[in-house]
Amino acid sequence: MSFILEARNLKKSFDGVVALSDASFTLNQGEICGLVGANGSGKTTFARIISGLIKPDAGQLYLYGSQINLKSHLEAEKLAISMVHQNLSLVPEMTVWENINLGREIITPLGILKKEEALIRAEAAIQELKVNISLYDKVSQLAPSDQQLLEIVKALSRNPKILILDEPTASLGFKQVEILFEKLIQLKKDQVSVIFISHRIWEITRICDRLVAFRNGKTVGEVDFQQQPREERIIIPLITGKKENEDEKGIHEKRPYRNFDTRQVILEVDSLSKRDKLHNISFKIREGEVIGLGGLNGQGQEEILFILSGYLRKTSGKIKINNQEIIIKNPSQAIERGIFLVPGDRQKEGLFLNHNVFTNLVYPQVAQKKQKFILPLKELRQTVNTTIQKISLVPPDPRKLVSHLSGGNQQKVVIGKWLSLSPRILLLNDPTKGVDIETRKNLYKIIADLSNQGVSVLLYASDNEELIANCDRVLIVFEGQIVEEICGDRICEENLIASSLRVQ
Amino acid sequence: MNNNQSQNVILDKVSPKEFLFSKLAISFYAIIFLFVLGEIILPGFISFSHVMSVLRLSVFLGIVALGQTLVVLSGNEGIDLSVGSILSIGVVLSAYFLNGQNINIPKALLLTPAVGLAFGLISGLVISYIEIPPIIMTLAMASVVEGTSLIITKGFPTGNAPPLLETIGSGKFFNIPYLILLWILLIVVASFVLKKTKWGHLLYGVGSNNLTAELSGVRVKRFRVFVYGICGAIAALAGLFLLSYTGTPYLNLGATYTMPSIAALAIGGISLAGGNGDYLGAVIGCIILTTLNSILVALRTTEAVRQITYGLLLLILVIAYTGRRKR
Repeated sequence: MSFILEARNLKKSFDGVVALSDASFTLNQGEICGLVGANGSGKTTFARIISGLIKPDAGQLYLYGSQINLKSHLEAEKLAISMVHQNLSLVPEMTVWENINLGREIITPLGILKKEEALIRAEAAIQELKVNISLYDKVSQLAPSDQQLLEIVKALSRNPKILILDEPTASLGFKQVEILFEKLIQLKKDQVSVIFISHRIWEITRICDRLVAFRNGKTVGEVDFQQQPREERIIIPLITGKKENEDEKGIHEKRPYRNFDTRQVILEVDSLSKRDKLHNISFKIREGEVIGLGGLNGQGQEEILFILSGYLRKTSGKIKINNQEIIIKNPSQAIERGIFLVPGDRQKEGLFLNHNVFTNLVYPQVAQKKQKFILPLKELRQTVNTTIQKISLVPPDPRKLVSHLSGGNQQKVVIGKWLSLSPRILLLNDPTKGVDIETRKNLYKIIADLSNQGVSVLLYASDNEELIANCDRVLIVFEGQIVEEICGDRICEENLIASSLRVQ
Repeated sequence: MNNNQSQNVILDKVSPKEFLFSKLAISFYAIIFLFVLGEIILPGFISFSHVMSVLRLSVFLGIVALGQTLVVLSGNEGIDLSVGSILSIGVVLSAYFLNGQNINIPKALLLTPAVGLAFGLISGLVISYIEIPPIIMTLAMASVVEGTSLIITKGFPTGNAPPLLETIGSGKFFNIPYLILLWILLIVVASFVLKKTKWGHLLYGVGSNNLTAELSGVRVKRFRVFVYGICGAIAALAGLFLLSYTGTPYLNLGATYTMPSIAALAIGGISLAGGNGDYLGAVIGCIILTTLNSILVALRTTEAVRQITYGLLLLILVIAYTGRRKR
């Protein structure tokens, strides 16, 4: 039988940096095919070629059996190929309905927009995914997860025959993921073909019929779930390129139970509130303890982290460190007390993209009050080199521009910049969003090391597996309140989901 | 950009090829080109004394451009349209403080920048805390400062530069004007502060992403107030040096400096979006603009032709600069 889409030996490089060296891919009608690979393995480049955004340097593309040469995104759209972008392609200052209709407005012969019809179309599109947003909201006012859903809605409203989803679930909560999966299965029944790119292996094993793995710009393998079992251990070696061995196994394994009752309480939060966002949040973190913040997306977890890090102000409540009440007015004061935040949006909050690794890594150190006016550059360079090794940055080059690093390595820099300052309390805001499995393991190891050194960690993760792998206790946040605390062996997927949804 | 994988690389080192095509180098070629062009049109243009006099004329713009550089580097649409007016009031005030007496020099050196600092701090406070766009705030401030100098002088500035200051303004050391030596010193100090000190480092960070800077522990708002303050102080100080050159004060001497101080930055490859570029670029931009101006003056062109050529050159350089970035 013939494939609906076939790519043979695609090559593409940017400024001499090879993104794809030999990528081949096939897609059958009415199947969901996973595309996996580490950060920088060329998945996104491949998706962009298929959707006509960039042209390959070499290789052939066959669509519906005949060779094609996509010249533009518009052409791809005419051929019923739609893509959901990882970095959102929505116009922030336009409303939801305007975005859905963008580029294919219905107009009168005089060029005047037929708003009524556009609204009807937008409403129908939104209903498809049961998104709870208003057509008149500006995209910039939507929560990240709603923006992602809107992005998907927009792609679906074009009635594609081939749908490419580039990490669609990275900023979605699991409830939303469920809805998306239902929709995908329905699309499959309607003979739509889907390319599903994700770092979350369990999503791939759940929804995909087949998967293709990329490594360093090459197609390295294919798994057909009709013949092979849906198991992580088959997939992970394909992504990492390493033979499966002991320490490859289960990066998401539950950490052994540790008892902290005898340890000193480092941070105590007492009935912390923020108007409309948080209500009477109270918890304690002991020395070396790793506490998770769980629950659905956007229930106030980020606000808790932002208040503790001094970026947002609380309306009431107390924060105590070592049993002393403290007032944190700005991030600078939080940092002085050893409370560091690893922000969630690395490009907006964590990095100076147009500067090099060195500048990024030393910045918090330079910003400290005790830093001398004339910088001890030699010492700083040495610290940076140590940090680079600690976080296993690839390439280990302090002069590399951060914008030229892959997403995972950028994330390493965001965490790395705090390591030389010896944190006491580390706040992590969804640190592995869109990060590949190798980097993830690396970050988990950093967290474990810090915890062993007595650093207390407060981790918010949108991904339950991550909480299971790292946390000693998990606090479930729901509508700005802590509704449950799950400890030790009770931390498992079922319990986390049940508590998040408040079903008992 | 190059894939250097070595573990302990020395920072700041640039490969020769990269250097030849760097923004700075391109601007430098432009200067050489202009001087050669000047020589063809007007023999004697590249004689030592003429080059020196062109460079001396660049000094005032150069000092103003330093303040502008800091503001632009600090990002968030940072721009200061009040530098010209503050320079004007700097001329008038320093003449008033000096009153032709050498003994008044320390007083003028202290008070003139202090007034500029005050104006700058006010702009900075409003920009940072009330979040008025810099372009609007500094435009308003320019107007206020102009009015203030009219009130102070009642339309007729008084006082003049004392002999010692006049020597600095027009004297030479081994045929090199003192002002140029002073500028070189300023360039060295400014470059050092930008590249090697805590403050310079923080400035680049604030300019390239103020949210990251804030979350890294910088008091961003306060920092930006300070940057505008410094810019004001520098502009006022430039007024004092301009007085040393003219001897007697005139109203609105600074009006012609505001736009060139921004153009010089664009020519010198300082990103107007903030966070990237260095003072040396601005210096070269200032020299280019002054050289071009003196060629056009020598050609006895009309003001109209001069302005059109100015605009065209700016465009060509900016295209050369951004075109390079795309490669």
